[in-house]
Amino acid sequence: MRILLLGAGTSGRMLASRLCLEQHDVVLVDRDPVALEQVESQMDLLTIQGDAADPRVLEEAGIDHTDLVVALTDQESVNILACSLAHISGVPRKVARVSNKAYSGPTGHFDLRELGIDLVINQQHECAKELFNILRIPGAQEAVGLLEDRVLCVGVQIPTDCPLLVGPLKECPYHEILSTIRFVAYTRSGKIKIPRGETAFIIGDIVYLVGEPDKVRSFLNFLMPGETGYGRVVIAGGGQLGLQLARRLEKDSPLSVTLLEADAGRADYCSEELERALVIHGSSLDQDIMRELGINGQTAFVAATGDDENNIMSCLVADKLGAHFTISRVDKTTYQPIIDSLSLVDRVVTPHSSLINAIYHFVRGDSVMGDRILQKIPGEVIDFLVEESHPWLNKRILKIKLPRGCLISMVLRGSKLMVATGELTLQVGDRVLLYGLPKSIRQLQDVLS
Amino acid sequence: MNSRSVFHLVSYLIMFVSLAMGSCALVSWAYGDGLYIILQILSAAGVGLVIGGGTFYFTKGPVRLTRKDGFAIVTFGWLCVGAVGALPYLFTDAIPNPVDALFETISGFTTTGSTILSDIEVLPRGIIFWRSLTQWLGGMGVLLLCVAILPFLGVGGMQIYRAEMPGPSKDRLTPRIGNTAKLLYGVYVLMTAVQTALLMLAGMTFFDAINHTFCTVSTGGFSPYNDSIAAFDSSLIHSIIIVFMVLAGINFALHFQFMRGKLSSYWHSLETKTYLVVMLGATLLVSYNLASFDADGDNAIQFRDALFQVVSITTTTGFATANYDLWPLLSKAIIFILLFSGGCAGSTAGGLKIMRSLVLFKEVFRQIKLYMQPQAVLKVRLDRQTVAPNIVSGIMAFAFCYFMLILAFTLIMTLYLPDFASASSAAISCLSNVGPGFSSLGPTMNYASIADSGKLLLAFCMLLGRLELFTILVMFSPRFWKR
Repeated sequence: MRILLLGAGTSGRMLASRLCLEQHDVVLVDRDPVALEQVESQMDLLTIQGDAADPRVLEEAGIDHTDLVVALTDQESVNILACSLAHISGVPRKVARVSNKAYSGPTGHFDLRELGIDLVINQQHECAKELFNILRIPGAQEAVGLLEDRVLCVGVQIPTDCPLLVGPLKECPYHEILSTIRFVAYTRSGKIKIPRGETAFIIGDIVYLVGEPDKVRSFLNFLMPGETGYGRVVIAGGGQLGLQLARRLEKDSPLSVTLLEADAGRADYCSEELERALVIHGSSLDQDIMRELGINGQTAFVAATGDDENNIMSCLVADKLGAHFTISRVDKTTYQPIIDSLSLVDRVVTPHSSLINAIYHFVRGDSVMGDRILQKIPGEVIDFLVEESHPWLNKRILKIKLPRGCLISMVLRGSKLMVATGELTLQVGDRVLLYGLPKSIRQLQDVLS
Repeated sequence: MNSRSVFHLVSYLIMFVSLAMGSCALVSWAYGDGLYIILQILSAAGVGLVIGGGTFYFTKGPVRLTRKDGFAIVTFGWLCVGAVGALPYLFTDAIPNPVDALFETISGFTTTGSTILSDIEVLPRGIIFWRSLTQWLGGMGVLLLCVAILPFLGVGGMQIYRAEMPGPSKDRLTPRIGNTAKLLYGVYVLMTAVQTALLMLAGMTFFDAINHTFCTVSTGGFSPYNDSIAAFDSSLIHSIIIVFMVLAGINFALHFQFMRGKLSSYWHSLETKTYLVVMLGATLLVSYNLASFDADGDNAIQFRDALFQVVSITTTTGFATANYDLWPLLSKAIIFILLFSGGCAGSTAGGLKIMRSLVLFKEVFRQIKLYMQPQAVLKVRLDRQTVAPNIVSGIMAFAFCYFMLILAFTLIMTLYLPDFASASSAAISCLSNVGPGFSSLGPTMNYASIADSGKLLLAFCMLLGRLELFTILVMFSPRFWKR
């Protein structure tokens, strides 16, 4: 697939390196020759220096035989214009990043799909979604929403008091509750395995499972009896990410929300936008204010400002004050290994990777509706539609030949969600959730296109 | 430098070259060289495979390459290929002296075409074929072939491509380097097939046709005959070879665009136009000079000889149909100047390259204008595109280096050769990968008389020229070896 990436910022580079690994033909356009030179020395792609919305530049980049355009420059007007130009040139798929929330989604007056832009994406919005999913499942190492958030894929670490520690899964006395979810993969001492009936989990395994959000939550209550959960979320930073998260939390969760914002004007605005949530004007780096917030074991702390160092610092403060769980937004991807090795915060989210997660399925075929790359283990969860001529149509799942390291976990038929069992036969219109290691996904390329 | 990764990739190269060597045993068998020769070639290939396989086994692991490693792979790759490629000559006693065998192999792979053999026709057919095959493999780059074949050479592939591909412009036909390499090789193979067919139609045997084609499209210049192309007294054969030498000296990216249907691709390239004009002008001058020198001669033959020699030298091929060493002084001087020029960037030709000369000329004009009007904002432009100042200074550094190396090697070669003409032409000819020189190294002579140490120096000179100086020169920087 020939993919044209506009903008060599953090997101652009992250996406490019992934696409290069998957052997796609990538052309990267940016105005900054220094950034391009750096990228070119690390990745096998073509770089073109110029303005992303300049027709001559797009022509030079071979727009007429491009399959996908992803516009990720920091100016939304450039992105929208470039995608419209790509539409005129007949590029089949276009994705544009925007920052104004009013653009994203067909809810507003202006539906950008009429300009031929298949997906308008807001990075902060995607990140807020990811944060929301993590917050509503206490104890999860990772939680990603799939099938329009009807299903969650959750990674948890098996604790010492887990009831499943008695023996192999098929001999466990908990069939009832086990049948509500589906295990997709687990990792033990660095190796990824697909769980089978014979599998017996041990303490410390990181297990990934999928299921409906409510069922996943109740299953996790059963799996981790020691996890008490939290009743309150403190968000530091009332920027786009913090505000959207607060709004989502007060709307869709019973958690009580406190929003901390250092800028008086912005705090005022947040307070207008929010109904239940408590808005406090102050800095998350101010120890007194943090102490006054009453952070305790019942509190989850989210640092969502645009300043990585501040975020990590305030998470450390919150941790010291006894927060149950801390999450930090970190934009600089180079910080990730440092944070991991020092275990500074419980969980890190990066708006850039949320964005890539939300658009990655465009790289796959038309029938793929979603593609989430998992963070804690290698592999991805793919959501695809079974169409008329699909090779798996009318086949029992038992009979489908899957490469090693692949598993079909859930099937959505109409509005009915089913745990995939061997006896289930795939029908037209089914949406299938598939987990696979990167290598096995590559082997499935023709099935997924 | 990540030596494990570097030698892991070099091991692929050694194994690949050994397999190519094995294929010569087939030729030997087909043309009845006798069991001894076949077995010797096979054992040379076997030894190569063992060396390559051993290196492969002991360097296994994930391949990680930096920019530096790219240079190291190319330099060591070419050295190893030169050494392993010499085995068939040694094993079959075609060239008993190891230094001679190494010289012949490196001259082959670098597409120089200088030989130490005084009688080529007595060699076994398999060995003659190997000699031509080294040129064909070296023409487009042995490593580029690996980039095309080995899919894991992604990022590293670009470093290799940069280091091995001749000329300052590295047009990428496709975003992925492996595909670009495949396309370039596709053009190369197609040219080879067409020329072989044409030469056979013109009356050559298949063996002669394929050998000459290998040495033409790579601008190498080895011939299975002692008299080179003069062995064929056919204007048709001469013309076919002239056309393909010219084509091999043009940027292959332009060939590719032409085949894609962009028929004006050559016309839009100033470099190609200059290249053709230079050759045409030189031919006219030389044939005029020849006609006035030898009034009794046949003018058509004089023109044909002038054209062939001019094209052969400009494209750095080094085939001969006439002994230009016996020509009048003006013609000799023109040939001497053409030794420097080289073909176009991105072709299989060596030398300074027309593009560099063009950019340097334009820079000179720019400087002259700036002397008169210092406030003027002037750019060096080529084919409607501005050449970035750092590229211009890179080309200046290259040209300076090129001429300095010629001076240095001329100085050294005076220790080995009887007169100044042969010494300086040896240096230029080897650095530009042409082949023949003047006086005692003229088109009818060979390099056998030079002492062993001199041959090694010239072989090094060829490698420097083929890998465009800096790839090898960076290896001499102490910084390169620091961790």
